Order: sequence, then C-alpha cells, then structure tokens
Amino acid sequence: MNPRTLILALTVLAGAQLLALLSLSRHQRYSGQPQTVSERASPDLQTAPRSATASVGSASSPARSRADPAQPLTPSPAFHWACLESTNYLTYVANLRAFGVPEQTVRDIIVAEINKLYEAREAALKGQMASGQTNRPTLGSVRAELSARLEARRQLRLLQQEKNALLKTLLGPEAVLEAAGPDWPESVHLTTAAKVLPPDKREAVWEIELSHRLQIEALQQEWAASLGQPGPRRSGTGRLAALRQLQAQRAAQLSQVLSPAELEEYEMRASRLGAELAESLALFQPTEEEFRQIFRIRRQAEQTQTSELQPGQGADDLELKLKAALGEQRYAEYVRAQDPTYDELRRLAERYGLAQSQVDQAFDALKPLIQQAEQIEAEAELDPARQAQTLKQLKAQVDRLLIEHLGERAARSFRRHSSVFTELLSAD
Amino acid sequence: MADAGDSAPVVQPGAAGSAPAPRPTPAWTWQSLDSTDLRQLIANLRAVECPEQTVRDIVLGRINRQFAAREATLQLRPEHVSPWEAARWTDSVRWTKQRQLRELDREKRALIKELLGVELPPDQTAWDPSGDTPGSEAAYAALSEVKREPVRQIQQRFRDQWDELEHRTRGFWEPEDLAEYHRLRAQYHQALAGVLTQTELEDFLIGTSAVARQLWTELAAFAPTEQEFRAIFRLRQQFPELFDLPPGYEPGADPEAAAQMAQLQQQYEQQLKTALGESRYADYQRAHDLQYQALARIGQQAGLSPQVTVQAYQAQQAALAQMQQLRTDPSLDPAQRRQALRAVRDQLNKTMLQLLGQPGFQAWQQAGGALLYLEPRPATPQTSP
Repeated sequence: MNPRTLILALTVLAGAQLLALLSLSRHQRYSGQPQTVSERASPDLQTAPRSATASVGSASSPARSRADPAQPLTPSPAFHWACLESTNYLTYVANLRAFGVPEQTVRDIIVAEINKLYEAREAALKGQMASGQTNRPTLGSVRAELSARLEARRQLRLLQQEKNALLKTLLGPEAVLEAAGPDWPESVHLTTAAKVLPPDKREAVWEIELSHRLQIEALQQEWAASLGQPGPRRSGTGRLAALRQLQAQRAAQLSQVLSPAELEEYEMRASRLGAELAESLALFQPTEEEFRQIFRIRRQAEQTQTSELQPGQGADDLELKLKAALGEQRYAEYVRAQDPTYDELRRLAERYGLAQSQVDQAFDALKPLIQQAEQIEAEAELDPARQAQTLKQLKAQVDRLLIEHLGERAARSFRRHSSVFTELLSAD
Repeated sequence: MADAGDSAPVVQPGAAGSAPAPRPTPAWTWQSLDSTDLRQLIANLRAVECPEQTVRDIVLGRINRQFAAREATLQLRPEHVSPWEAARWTDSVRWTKQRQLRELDREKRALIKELLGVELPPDQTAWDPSGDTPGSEAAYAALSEVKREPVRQIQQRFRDQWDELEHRTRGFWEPEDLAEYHRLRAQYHQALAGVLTQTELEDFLIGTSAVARQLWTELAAFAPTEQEFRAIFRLRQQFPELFDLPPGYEPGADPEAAAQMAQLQQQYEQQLKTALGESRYADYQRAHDLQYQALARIGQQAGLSPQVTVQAYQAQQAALAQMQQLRTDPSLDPAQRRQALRAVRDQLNKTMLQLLGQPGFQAWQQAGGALLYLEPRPATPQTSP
C-alpha cells in the first residue's frame, strides 16, 4: 500500500474507532443521566471498567499497603470519591476538574486508566512482536517471522493511535506527548526535543514525526513481504531512495512548521545525527559553537548525499568544510577523536593509569604504521607470502613502539585486545 | 491550581507506620484531600473511598514527577542537558550517571513499595552478567511469584558487581579479571540455586544466559531435540573457560593459554561425542559451521530439503579447499592465480544454481555467494588527513 494511502487509512480508521470507543465506554461506564459532582454514583458504577483494570505491578498487589492506618478511618458522610465517578470518561474528567483536582493529577488518573484499558491488547501485540527475538529462535522461515512481527507492530501502531486520539479528546494534545511510552522509537528524544519548541507548534511536529515513523515502518513491511518471493523487489538502492524520499518529505514538512532556528534546535536533539554526535564527540570535548558547526555541516552533507552506496562521495568536501570551520588545530583533534585506535588507547590509559601525553604520543607513532598495514592488506596484487612477511615486520615495529610508549603490561594487554592486532595484524 | 505534592517533600519525617487521619472540611474540594505528605494524601483518599487503583495512579504520578525532577536536577540523562554538554560526557561520566540513575530508581521503587505496597515491574526483568538477553522476561515470568523478587534481588546484586568489574577493565581483561568474572558467575549461579530448584535454575539460565542464546544461534541448523539441547547446555556449563567469557574478551596469543584452551576444547568435544552419539555428533559439527548455517537458512527460505542443503555445503567446501590450494600454490603468478580462482567460482556458481534453484541461488548470491570466499577483499578507503 502506498504510504500516503496508509496514513490516510490509519487516520480515518482511528477517527472511526475513537467514535466507537467513546460510544462503547459511554455504554459501559454510563448508566443513566450524566452525573455532576453533587450526584452520588449508583452502586453498579463501583464496578465500572476502570476499577476492574489491572494492578500497578506485574506481581500481585495487596489491596492495601503495609502502611495502612492501624485504626480504620471514618469517611465523612458528606463526600465519597464515588461522587466524582462516571461511566463516561468526559463526565469523569469534568467532575474531577470541577472538584478542583489539578490538571496534572487529572492526567495522572486518566492516562493511567486509558493505559490499563489498552494494556492487554498492547501486551498481546508486543508478545507477537517479540517472537523470534527470544532466547530460543524459531527454526521456521525468516520471512514469515519477520512479516508477522512487522504486522503485529502495525496493529500496535493502530491501537496506539486510537489510544492517543482518546487521550487527546479527553485531555488535550499535551497529554499525548506526556503519555508517549517507550514503544515509539526515540520517543524520549522527541518529547524532550518538542519541549524546546513553542507550545503551539509541538502537536504539529509530533504528528509529522508519527506519520514519518509509520511510513518508514510500512516501507520495512513491504520489503519484508518481498523477501524470498519471486517477482520484482526493491533493490538496496531502491529502498534507500525510498527512505531518502521519506526523509526529505519529513524535513520539508518540519520546515513548514518551524523557523530555521527552531528547526535546528529541534533537530540537534531529535535527529539520529544529533544523538550520534552527542555520543561520539566526547574525546573531542566540543564547545557549543563547535558542536553547532559540526552538526550544520554534517546535516547539510547528509541532506545532499544521494546514495550511501557510493562511499566516499562528498566525503572530501565534508572534511574540507569541517577543517575550515574548526581550524587546523581543532580539526586535527576532531579527526583523532573519531579514530577507533585512539579510543582504544584512551581506554587503555584509563585502565592502566597512563598519562594523556603517553596516549597522544603512542597514537602519533602508531597511526602511520596502521595506515601502512591497511594498504598492504588491501593490495590485491601482492604475493600472499610477501604480504604476510611485510605485515609481520610491521607488527614487530608496532610491538616495539607500544612497549616504548605504554610500558610492557599495557602494551601486552593492547596486543591482546585491540582490533589493530585481533583484526589487522592478526596473521603471523 | 498547583499540585501540592510536586514541589514538596515526599513523606513527612517520622510518619512511618502511622498514617495520619484525614482532615475533613465542611466544603469538600480537592484541597480538602490534598497534602504534601504522601501518607496523608493516601489516608485522605482512602477515607473518601477513592478506589485503591486510583489512589495508586495519583500517588505514582506524584512520585514519578518528583523523581523526574531530581533526575533533571542531577542531569543524569542526555535529554536533561544541551546536546553539546552531553557530547562532553566521557565513558566514565556516563557510567557514573547510569549508576546514579539506578540508585535513584531503587530509591523510588522502595518508596512506592513502602507507601503503596506494590512492586513496580522491573525495568529489566531478568538479566545475565554475560550480556543483555532478549526474551528474558518470559524466563522471569515462568518463575513462581514468590521466587521472582528474591531472584531479582540476586540479579541486582550481581549486576552491580559485574558493572564495577566491566568498568574497571575498560575492555582490557587481565587473567585476574577473568578469574574474578568466573568467580562472580559461580557465585551468581550458587545464589540462584539457593532459591530455585535444579530444573527451575536450568530453565532460568536457558532463558537468560548468553551461553544459551549463543547455543540456540549455533544450533539452529542442527535442530536439536530438547533433550539434546539440554545435554549440550549442561556440558557447556562445565566449560566456562571456553563458553562463558565476558563480552569483548580476547584470549590473546599466549602459547601456554592457547594450549590449555585446546586441551579443554578436546575434552569438551570428546564428552559431547559421547553424549550425542557418532551420527548426531557429525551432524552437530557440520551444523556448527557458519557457512552451513547460512546455507541452511537459505535452504529453509527456498523450501529445499536438508539433503540438498548438505550437497550445496559439500560443493562449497570443496571449492573452498581448491581456493586454499590455489592461494598458496607458489607455481602460480598473480594473474594465473586470479584466473584459476575465477574458474573455481564459475563452477561453484553453476553447481549452486542447479542445487538451490533460482530463488535459492539468488539468496545465496545476495549473502555473498562465491564472492565471499573467492575474491580478494576490497580495498579499504584511505583515512582522511
């Protein structure tokens, strides 16, 4: 199905289901006239669906805590919580508000109830999504398993959309953002990022993100369905092109809603690139300005790159831009901080209490030799025996340098664990 | 209206065990019930017969917000700081923050249990020191209710110790670290055995341990019976030096250690052969081969019989042996070697197409096919200056 058609269908379906759900809940929760705070709920309302929902913990929970009062409390005859109850969610919310319950507490009560209402159905679908990812993989067809998991995820999304629509109707869009669980990928980042935006733009951004996520998942589902099947199937390039089209569509939609400055603030927190930079620049210790510069340049490169299947394309240009932005000295430090060998040496220094200067010197001495080894290994024309001999000589050189800069113990440990030795210089 | 509990102390000091009486007022509003003291709030809500579930929802909301505010103040999560600040977090800083977060989480759970008498579902229900284990929730759920909490406490205790060890080594394992790892593992199993029966323990370890997960992956093409699986699992448990190693551990090239490992491997294979019998042991060996596993997956997708998969594997093995011979043949110059390798590749492609059929052959090629084994590795791109 065309992703746009899918979204439209989901939206229509969610709307219809919401109406049905509100009617259903009214039927289940409501017996008679809408209640007011002054009305006392009829006894049958004490067993309305809300009170029959699951307990907080997965383990069985006692009805009362150990901190229960030793002496029974005598409730005032003037007021019982049941006065606020209703079988209709809208009435219940109105009653709570009229009683003066703070909005945040109203949300706590209603979000928890709605979550419980959907809990069993969500759990069943999550169970289906997890099948095949357990500690005991099934031996059946990979395609069938994957398709079933993705279909369960699609159904879960539909259910979550229905739930979100209900929450939005009852409590407003902010409640949906607040209640977004960890099932939506990067939801923490999205909700946090959304908070840097003006309140009137948050909902629109959230909608764009959800829609984008659904389109990507539909693409994955289409690909999984074609696995192992005869007939046309999207190639890797085709899938990538479709993905890039969706990303471009998302970027265009976001830029319609947000100003350039808002978009940058949001993307630095919500995008995969922002998260990746926040994870990978620790050794570089960027200032705010440097972080922003790196983010802008890499973002631009990401948006203009046409295909990941052509590695290196535009890479030189990217590096030149970074160098120009950071300056010679800081750029050199940036490159070094990205190097996995430098990271290994830094961890080694922490492990064996070495000085930072030892790490820097060892790295500077090792780097040319590692590059040389990579070139030799990649040389297809070289005679295998000669190749092995040259690598062996390099390995001996690296060994000497390591002992010289790091000492015998750390050098031995580096030899045993570093990818330079376990992969590049592994063959004697 | 402000929420009374959001910026106030959670529990009044000295209030433990004796919940205060509600404060009835003539005109009932939320303010009549609300209190900055959560015990008082609970008592007030119960006094007006607020359903227990709603009491929990209200109090949990308060507690969650109070702890979220503390997390935010301590800047424990990346979302609490600007991205450039999070980018300056080193591994050690991240580790310390994770540790603080976990402590805060424990504090929150303890408070919830104290106030409401309920256990929150653990964030990670069943954990194994040898790695994160998906599907472990099922193993945890399979335990009787009364055993879940003690098991979780054992896991919590060993997880802390394991984290310390992992952090200290930074991935560079010395022999004494490895010894400590095995000692911790043994203590962990022993502690679990104090709570679980032998069968429960085995089931729990099969459901949670990386040893079992690795075994399922390895044995997918062997299709073991449950009895066979358990026999192999038990045997591997007896050889932790071979099969239960910390993630990222490399044994290194120490000849003495290598000889010791080889000896252990030999003992393991011998005992396995006895346990499985000659025929199934031969199946096991073949199915253990990664190349056979890849072919078996392709065969399953293409609906081929196991016999055909075995034939395809044998053809591939024969081509590999030929390739090995050609690569080390000193009489060939590079051009001749390339030509000979291509001839082997073309023949293998032809055989595989016949055996696997078009869809299977296509899948095999997508997985690397003959190229994976017969072509020289592509050049590594130059690192930018």
